[in-house]
Amino acid sequence: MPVPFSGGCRCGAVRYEVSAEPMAAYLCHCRGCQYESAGGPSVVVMVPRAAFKLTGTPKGHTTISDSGYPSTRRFCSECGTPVFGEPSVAPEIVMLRAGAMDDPSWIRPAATIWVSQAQPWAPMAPDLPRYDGNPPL
Amino acid sequence: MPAPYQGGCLCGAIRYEVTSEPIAVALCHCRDCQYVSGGEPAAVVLVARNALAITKGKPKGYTVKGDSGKNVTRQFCETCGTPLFSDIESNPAVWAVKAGSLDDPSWAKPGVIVYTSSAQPWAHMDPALPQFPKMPG
Repeated sequence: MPVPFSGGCRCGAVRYEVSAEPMAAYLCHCRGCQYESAGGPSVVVMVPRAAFKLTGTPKGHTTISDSGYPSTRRFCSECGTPVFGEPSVAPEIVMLRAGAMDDPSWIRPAATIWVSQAQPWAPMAPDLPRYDGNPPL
Repeated sequence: MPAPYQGGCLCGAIRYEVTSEPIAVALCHCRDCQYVSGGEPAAVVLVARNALAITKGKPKGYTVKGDSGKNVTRQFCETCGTPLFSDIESNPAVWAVKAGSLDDPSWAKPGVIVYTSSAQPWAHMDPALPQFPKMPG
């Protein structure tokens, strides 16, 4: 697992570097992530905020997530790439989107979550645990 | 799905209506779709160009060169970042609508998987669907 690792949006206006290993990665099928990810799950990679260094100014959109807490989705206002999320319930964590990592290939999703809201056609790995809501912490 | 059907972004600033049945539904694993879709593929619903009308708001477009060397413009909402639809210069007869932006995405069952050659190693693919390393043909 390469540390530090970097990422950013498609046009390069937003960049980040992370100096710690991710705590976990999940495939999230909540309806908000479906809007963000064209219908399939969002691939969220949780890292400590203290290890996350951002350059650029992503835009934010805050909604009440399916967990019941405000959550802010950060995306690039130039190219639209979703880069990370900020759950208000856990301000010490940043939830990267794997698609915006420079190299997403090495992540290991631990589980598929919010399957209760998944689209019936959404691809789901048969060998990953599934949770109707959030995973147990 | 009986036409017409509607969709829009998460925040409601942009709404659209489609007045014909889709031509096809595909899961696309190209790297640009991975940026937009958090790492998993984009679920795209191809519709005839003249069948889609924007009924509220104005999306922003971000243009990249596709594999063909021609433009792909991905339209998204500037307020909430939701990816909506793309216009593809190499296939000007269609819009590629992002399934996640449909009011009801449940019927948009993909029939094919494309750009599997660039898929992330952890992205699960339904073995029952035809798969193409890039585009079919």
